[in-house]
Amino acid sequence: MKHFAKGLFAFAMTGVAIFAAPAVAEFKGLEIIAPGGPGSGQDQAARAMADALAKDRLASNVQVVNIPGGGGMIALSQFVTSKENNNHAVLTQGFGHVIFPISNKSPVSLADVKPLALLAGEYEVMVVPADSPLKSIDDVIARFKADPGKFIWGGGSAGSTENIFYALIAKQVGMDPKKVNFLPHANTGEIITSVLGKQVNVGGGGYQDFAPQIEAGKLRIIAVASPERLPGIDAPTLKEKGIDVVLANWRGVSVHKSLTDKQTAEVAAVFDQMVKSPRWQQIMKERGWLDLYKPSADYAVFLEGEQKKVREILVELGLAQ
Amino acid sequence: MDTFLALLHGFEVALQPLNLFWAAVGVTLGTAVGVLPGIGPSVAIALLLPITGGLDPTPAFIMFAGVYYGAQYGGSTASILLNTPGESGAMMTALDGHAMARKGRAAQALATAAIGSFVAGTIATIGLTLVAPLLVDLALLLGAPEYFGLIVLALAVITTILGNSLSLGFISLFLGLLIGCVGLDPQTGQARFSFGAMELLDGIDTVILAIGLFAVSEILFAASRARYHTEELYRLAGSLWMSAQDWSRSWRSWLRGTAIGFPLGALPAGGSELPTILSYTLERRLSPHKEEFGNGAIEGVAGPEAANNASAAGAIAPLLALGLPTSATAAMLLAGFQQFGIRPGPLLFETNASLVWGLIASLYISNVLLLVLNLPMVGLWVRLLTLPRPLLFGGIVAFASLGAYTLNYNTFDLALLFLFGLLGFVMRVVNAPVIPAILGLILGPLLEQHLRRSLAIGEGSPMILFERPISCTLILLAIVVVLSPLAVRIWSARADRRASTGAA
Repeated sequence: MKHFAKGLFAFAMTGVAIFAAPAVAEFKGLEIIAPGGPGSGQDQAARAMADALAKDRLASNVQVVNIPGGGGMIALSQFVTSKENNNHAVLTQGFGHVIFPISNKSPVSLADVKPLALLAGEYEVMVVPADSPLKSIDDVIARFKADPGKFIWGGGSAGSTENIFYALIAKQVGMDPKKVNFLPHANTGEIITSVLGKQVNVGGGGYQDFAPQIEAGKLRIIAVASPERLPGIDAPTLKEKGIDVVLANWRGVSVHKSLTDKQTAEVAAVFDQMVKSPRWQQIMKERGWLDLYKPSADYAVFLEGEQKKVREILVELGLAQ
Repeated sequence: MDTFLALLHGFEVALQPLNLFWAAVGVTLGTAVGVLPGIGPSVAIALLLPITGGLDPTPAFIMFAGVYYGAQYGGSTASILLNTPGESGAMMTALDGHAMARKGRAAQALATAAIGSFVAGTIATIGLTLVAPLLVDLALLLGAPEYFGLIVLALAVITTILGNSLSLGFISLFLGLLIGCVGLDPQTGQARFSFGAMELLDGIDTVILAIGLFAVSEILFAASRARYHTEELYRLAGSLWMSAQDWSRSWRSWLRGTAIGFPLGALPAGGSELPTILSYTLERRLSPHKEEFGNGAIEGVAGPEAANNASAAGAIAPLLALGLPTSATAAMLLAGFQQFGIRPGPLLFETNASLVWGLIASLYISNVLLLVLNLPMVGLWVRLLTLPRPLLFGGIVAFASLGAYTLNYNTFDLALLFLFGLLGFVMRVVNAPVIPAILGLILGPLLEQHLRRSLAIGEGSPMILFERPISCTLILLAIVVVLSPLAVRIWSARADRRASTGAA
């Protein structure tokens, strides 16, 4: 274990030396704006960043600012209007912030900020109660096709990752996504309760949310929406079962559009060092987040892909034009 | 027997001097944030989370437990003295608690709240030790149709029982339900009644409506009557201690409140609101002093306060075993678990036994600490009410505004607060009860969510609500509750007519 950490540290140091020439010195003052209240997913991600940046001395005086409300759009619009030319402020975002502006025709969207880095995330998984007759994704699809109305899929809120997840699966197996009987829930605890209490046939979410119940033998995992099988998770990917759905609940950061390329590169360098820092690696491990790091340009391309994917499926669901 | 040994071990953990210190820090902090409207326990824990990163999980959670319980004590203090319920669980306490304060019996109200919380907390902690797994099963047993039935029953009961006019009560309720429709549609994620304001997308916060309807409207009302009104308010009457009669009227309410709060706390049906509302209703129904309710009945404080505290303990079981937060504060504790990489689940009781039982034991210890801390403070708190009225009222308005603003750091919420203050003023003038409106706002979105979930499960057929025995029974009960006052009125009218024709 110690060895591993040492290796990581050495790796991080190399990373600093190779990539981060302009900002080897500590970055002075950084405001991380989380579009969500204290304790929300965005807040947790923002505080994890602040923790790693401070602990590994990559930035000083790091502050997390919570701006809850409006599906994250209040934070986004405040960021756009008040942080012009401010190269000491970043905004966190997630997959949900791709979905919301499309389904709600909001005046602002992630297109109004400059993507800085994709950081971490979790692939979606599908679970059933341990004693469910559904043993595989084939069973799930067969039951769904036989009587779509009676087959209930449980997930987060309307327009959540799971909503998109199930719609994509339905489309892949040749069913109308509108046929998915989706039951929204306020939080993961409610989803687990619904699955265990057999109020729904399948549940969806991040693996870590279900891990304790799976370990206790109360839930069974059916499939993972990752590109390849994940270490430590005993389940096939949807892809290998012929259902081409890869979907992660990810977290990333952006900066204001007005920043020059040089300014952007300076902030990007800070996060580039952070993702390799021992503290960040440790946090990701503890929380079961996967390293999905993509630097600015790649993140922008990735975002476009996500936007296209979401828009298409939301149109088919009748939730967007 | 094993669980008792485990609890004993928990006490061993919680009573270590350092952990005891954190518990004391927690309850003090909790009391402070509970008194401040707007900054509820959930926000306090959220703000503490990053600071506690350096601590071990056990002392951190012992402190959180202190904040949780402390805030409930503090919440009742603010409700009783200032009529500004800082969190929705303290709303029912404000009704009669503040009425008692107006009559100069603030000290007794504070005392019955503190002792009731202590009694309820003690019993509920023991209950948690004995029946935690049963509570988890209870949460799994009920589905959307059952919750729908439960909420309909609660709305029916409270609306028929409060106020003098059934129609005004229902107008108030539907107003609340309407306000509850503002925001994102839970089934489709589309905006409703938001008029393009992003601040409205997440709906309207209950605390804003409650403080607006309670505190702001009361001050407007008092100001409008100031010229004609010379009634002495808040003058302290007699002793600060609870009389023998106060004790005898309180203890049954404490027990009943505990019995309601503990199991309901384990259900994801609105946290502490439903238990406190039901307890208040029950007390009013059973009390031989019905006429005192709304004017300072001590049972109306004792019952809901006990229910509030017991529900906090009840919420722990599903939180630990299912990761199911049944209240906003439980949700923050969950975020705390995640911060420490602890994942709630059935194995948590085994893998993190000392944390779990230390947490449960510290809930109990927090209760003891709070009682010790709060009872001597009663005399100090009630002095607040001896301030000259313009100062006191001005202070309450400032306090209420602060509370509304700190919810989201948004001036939009301030405008809403005063809008609701005006609404409450009008409601007071026409003598419409305000509680049904607040209830409508709290339970409306839950009601809708469970109704629509039920319909989704039943493939669009409402029959599902009547096919399941529990939900069917609850809905039928609700119908009986609403119709019974009407039936009684018709019968008595008929009896009168018969009597008058008989006399002629």
